[in-house]
Amino acid sequence: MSDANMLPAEFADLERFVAHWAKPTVNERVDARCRSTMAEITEFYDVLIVRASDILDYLDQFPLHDMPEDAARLAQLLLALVQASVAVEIQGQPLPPKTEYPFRVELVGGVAPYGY
Amino acid sequence: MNSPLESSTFDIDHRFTQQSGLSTGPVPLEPYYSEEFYQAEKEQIFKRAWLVIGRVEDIPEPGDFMRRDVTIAGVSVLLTRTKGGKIRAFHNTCSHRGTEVVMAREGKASRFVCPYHNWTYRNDGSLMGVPDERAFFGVDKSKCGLEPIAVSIWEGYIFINLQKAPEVTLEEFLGPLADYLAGVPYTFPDNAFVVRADVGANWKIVSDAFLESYHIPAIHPETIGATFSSNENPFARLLDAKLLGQHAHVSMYGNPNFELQEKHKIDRVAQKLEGAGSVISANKLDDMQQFLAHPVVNPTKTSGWSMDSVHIFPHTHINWGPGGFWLHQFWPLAVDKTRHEARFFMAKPMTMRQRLQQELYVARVLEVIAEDLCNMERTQRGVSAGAKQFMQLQDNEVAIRRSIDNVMRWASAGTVKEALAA
Repeated sequence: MSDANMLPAEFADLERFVAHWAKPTVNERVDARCRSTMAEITEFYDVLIVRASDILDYLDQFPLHDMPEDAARLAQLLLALVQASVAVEIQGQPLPPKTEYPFRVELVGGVAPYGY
Repeated sequence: MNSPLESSTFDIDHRFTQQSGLSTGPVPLEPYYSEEFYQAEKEQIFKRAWLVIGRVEDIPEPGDFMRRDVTIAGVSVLLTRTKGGKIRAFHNTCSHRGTEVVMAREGKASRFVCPYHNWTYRNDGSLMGVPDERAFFGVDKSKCGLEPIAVSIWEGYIFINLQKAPEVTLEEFLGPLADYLAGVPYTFPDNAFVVRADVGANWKIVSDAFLESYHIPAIHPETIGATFSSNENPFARLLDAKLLGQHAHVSMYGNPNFELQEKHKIDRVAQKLEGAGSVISANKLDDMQQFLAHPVVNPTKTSGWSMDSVHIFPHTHINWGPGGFWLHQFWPLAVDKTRHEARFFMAKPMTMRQRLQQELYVARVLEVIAEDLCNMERTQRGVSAGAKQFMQLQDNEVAIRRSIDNVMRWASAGTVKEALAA
């Protein structure tokens, strides 16, 4: 179990996304999206969005605050899909229009797990 | 039951400003960039007005405390809940040589020890112990407690007043707002996520941006533009505006026909479709019925509603929408710098599905605030350039007009009673 990219067996094909997207906080997931190209975001989004329901069903079998390590990593990937969806489904580009990155807007409390 | 909008609602061009008694002319920009004016605001507004500093749920148990900085006034405020459950406020200043006593932003403690020489205070402010007391020259410990700050509670909001003896009570300060806003059953007040940004703009530029929806189609076209405007209301005119003393309540339109499109796949996965009308809604609507039924929440009781914003002068907005309530606060750091803190109150997620819904909500909030923030800094640069002496405000920006009118009056008023004569 030393492989830091390890995901539950049925989601092993998603391991290539772990290093870039499975971040432990909202702020880091925002950062991952805002520093990616649209091509990188779209590649991640296209693969994850069709698996999202299965991922959610799989994760719902664990207590939210006490997931095994591989499931926790998968949860962070699913949460990163939210950021990818902001770019793909809403903005059509990595950053919001008329903005410059970094924004200096930060989540500083109140979201758990994998919050701030 | 909310009713549909009447088609003529947005036909009248000047519904709010003229009847408010405010001027309809151009508004001076000097208060947004002048260092001299900022100094007047410090003395005349922030050191005299009642200021929202938190909610009672922030320090729920006896022994809980929090420290909050009112930077513009140069004051560190220590708020405690004593053994008897009373909320107290103090200057965070040691009676020995003036050092700040509490460094933690919040916590639980029955006593506070000054880091410099270990002078020790109870959480009711009284001085408890002086190390090597015999070496002093008869220190009267009963007179060396922490310096109290006036504190008062209204509807769960903690207010402080930095005047040694406040000229007016909190009730007088709130005026008609106190009764108007009484009894709102705030949902999930003990659980908020907090978004913070230090914005390179005057505190009023930041506050003003959240008092009108005219900017939403331009600044937030993809995130929330389609929920705040429509063909019937293309410029996001207000549903309602009420001026209550120096405070204001604006109610914003929400496109009742807004539907998530096929491309919004992640929302379908999270199954958060039950609350149509605004994407700013993560809590289930059925938890909200009691809250939404209150007469001041969606005051026109229309289905075409997105959110309300209540400006508690000077620096706090209470907001609510179909998914609950949130607060904006604008703490001035300098004439062109503001700490913007937004707290969104919602249920704690219990399952991964709920956690995913929360992530969606948080992501959209961050996105919208990022869009606003960059715009505010562009505004400040434009204003500070000094090319323009005045700004133009339209009818649906009436709450901004109310706010700047207050600011100008407070800045020159000799007494608080005079300042309150809005």
